Amino acid sequence: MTQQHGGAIAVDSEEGVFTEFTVRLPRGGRALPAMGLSLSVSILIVDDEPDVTDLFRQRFRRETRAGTYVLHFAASGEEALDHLTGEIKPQLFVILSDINMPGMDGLELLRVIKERRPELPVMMVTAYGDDERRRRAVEFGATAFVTKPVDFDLLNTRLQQMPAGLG
Amino acid sequence: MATAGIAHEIKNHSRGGGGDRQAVDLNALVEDSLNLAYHGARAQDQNFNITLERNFDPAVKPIELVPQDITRVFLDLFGNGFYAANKRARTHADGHFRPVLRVATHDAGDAVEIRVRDNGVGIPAEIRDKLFQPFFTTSRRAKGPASVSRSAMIS
Repeated sequence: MTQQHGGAIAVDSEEGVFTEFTVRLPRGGRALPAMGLSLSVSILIVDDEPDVTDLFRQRFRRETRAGTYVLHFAASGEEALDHLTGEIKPQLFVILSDINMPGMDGLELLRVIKERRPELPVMMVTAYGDDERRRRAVEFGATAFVTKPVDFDLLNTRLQQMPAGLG
Repeated sequence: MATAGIAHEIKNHSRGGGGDRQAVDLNALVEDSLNLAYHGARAQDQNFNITLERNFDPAVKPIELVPQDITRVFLDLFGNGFYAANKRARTHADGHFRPVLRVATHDAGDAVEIRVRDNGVGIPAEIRDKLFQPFFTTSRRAKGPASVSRSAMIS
């Protein structure tokens, strides 16, 4: 398809008060062949490894620029929960969490998130073959697993398949 | 109401339009879409009324897009806004509530932004969440984007 715009749409609303949709149409949309007009969503990445921030920013640069993804980072499970308490804009769409972290680990974080926001998809980032922890993560309601080292093309495909319109 | 989500429909329509990309005066396109949506709503319901507020950035430069596709997106968003504002108006039987749809454009340099804001009933948080949730469906597989977004927004 050659006629894609590469744009994003975000929604903000307060019940009984207002609804506001923001459509963002980047110039030179042709440079974004993989994207149609899609919802702008937040992704919260939880990892105690500081390099992860740069890595995700770099690998999702195109999507970030188009406004498709807005990336948020938390360096611990506790910090991730702070993000949940505050308002993340645009709408938080998925949490990607490392499992192995000091303090509150990814499994505990997952358990708490599912208590507070059962509808929120949580993807767990794990080392290959970590079957026992994967099994527990499934029990706690993990949506999917991402194997380390992260294959970003695959991750992107899966993210785009998740909501109806991220593609 | 059934939908695979507003974005899905927007995507489908933004891809399936078949029009050509061209440099477009976006303010004019928004204005045309707004008039079209307004008169469409009036044609359906003679009692329909809403105050339209425009805040168009005169600095918006032409942008390349497929006008038919973006027009559809705007028609949906305006239609949703009309619906939400009038739904709220009906709950104010005293007539003190004035439904308003505000449309603003802004040239941000690398992108043009269009904001569509209504003072209507709003979207409950749980529905808002589902707008972004995988495989969210309501009961009816909607044929068009207007019904889709409306069903997703106001239930």
